[in-house]
Amino acid sequence: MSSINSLETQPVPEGVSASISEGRSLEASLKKWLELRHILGRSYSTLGGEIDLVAALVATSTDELSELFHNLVGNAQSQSQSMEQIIHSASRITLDSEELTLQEVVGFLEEVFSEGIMNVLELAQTAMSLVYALDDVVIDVNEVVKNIKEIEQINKQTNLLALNAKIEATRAGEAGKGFGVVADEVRQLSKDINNMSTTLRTRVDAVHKGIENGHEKLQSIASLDMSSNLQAKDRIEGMMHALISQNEDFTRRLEHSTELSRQLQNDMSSVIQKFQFQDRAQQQLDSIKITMGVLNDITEDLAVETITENSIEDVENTSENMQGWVDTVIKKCTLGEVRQRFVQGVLLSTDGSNKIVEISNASDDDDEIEMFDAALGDISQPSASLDDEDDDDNIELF
Amino acid sequence: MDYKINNNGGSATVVFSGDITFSENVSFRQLLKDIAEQQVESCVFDLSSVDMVDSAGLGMFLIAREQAETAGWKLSVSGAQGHVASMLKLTKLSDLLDG
Repeated sequence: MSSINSLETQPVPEGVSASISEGRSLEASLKKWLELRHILGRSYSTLGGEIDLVAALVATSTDELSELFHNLVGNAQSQSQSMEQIIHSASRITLDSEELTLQEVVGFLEEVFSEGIMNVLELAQTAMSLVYALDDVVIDVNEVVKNIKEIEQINKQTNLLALNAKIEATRAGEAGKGFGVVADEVRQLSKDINNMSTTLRTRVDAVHKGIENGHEKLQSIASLDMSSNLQAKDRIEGMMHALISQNEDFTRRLEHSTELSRQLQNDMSSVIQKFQFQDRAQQQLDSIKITMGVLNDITEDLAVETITENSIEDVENTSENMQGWVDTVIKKCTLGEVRQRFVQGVLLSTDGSNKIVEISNASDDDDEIEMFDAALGDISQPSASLDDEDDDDNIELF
Repeated sequence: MDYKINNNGGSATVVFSGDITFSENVSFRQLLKDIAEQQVESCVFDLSSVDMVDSAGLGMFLIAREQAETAGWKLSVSGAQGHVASMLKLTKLSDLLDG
């Protein structure tokens, strides 16, 4: 196979100028291909770096998100446990280390209240029994009064008889003297009985008054208008049942909330499982990098083959073609920092001394890049359009 | 308080009217004597015309029950309404008196 370079050094016979022209065109195309190969190789390298950055970003973000969701699951579990404790505590009270449900408390209060009512009733029954017993005593006392009256009547007659006996004894003179003494004794006895009867009547009257007094006391004990108790019982029952009802409603809502919290835990656990996508993404990105490496090797081999078979020199510096292609690529790239790295990776990597790009790190905007080199004059024009296309574009080309 | 005893072959019904309070204790005791004299087997206190009963009245019902148990006849109440029915329920007397 003949060398392309040999076409330039040997005299050109007439009639073959067309072939020479074709040969030069072929050489230019091959050079262009080699330039493209350089751009492609550097692009593969730069894009591989981008893939590594993406993979690292995904891995870091996934770890952070996973940790946050783990924390959320933990908090949700704590919340569920707290609510379960609230549910348990809300329906119970602890009294002297004994745990009672609200129903038991209400039952106990109702029992105490009923016992109080029953005591009142028992008291009323006893009081009424006493009233009737006292009534019987009054009847007996009245009998005693009646008997006293009879004694007084008998005593009155006895006194009259003694008085008559005294008169008759006086008339009898000396013979009736002894009888007169007996008559005096009988009269004295009658007086004593009368005094005793008076005392007895006084005491019986006192008993009578005492019974009447007891009667009144028993009336005050037995006669309770229990309407207020009735209202109180109804009200206490109403309040207790309202309390239980409210507590049940409260418990239902808490249980619902606990269930929601459990669902939240399950959902978040599912989310954490979904984070395994990061492994798959990493594998896919690795696969892309491998493919890009293979493509790079193929183009590299093809470029070497081109150089060898056509005896042409490889491209050394950045050419206008290369700058134009890079310009075409970065026009499509909307992310400022990616564009910056691409330009650096593709254009600067060929010649470190060729200052075609200057990066303004001191800029307020981290992603802003300013390009000053005149060599990039032909790619400086699109800068205005880049800014117009996307507000995120922070690269200015001069 | 007024009462009227309707005795139908040992099954008596006492129809009350008015209030049954402490001041009626004498009348109530007379009623108990009347029932004892009639030698009933069972007696129903009809309270449908009673407007009010206090604790003394309830105590007298219990004394009647005591007398019934001693004499061997059965006492029950019926027809209670309003305040009287509430009072019997509050004191659970309707259970005690086979209401």
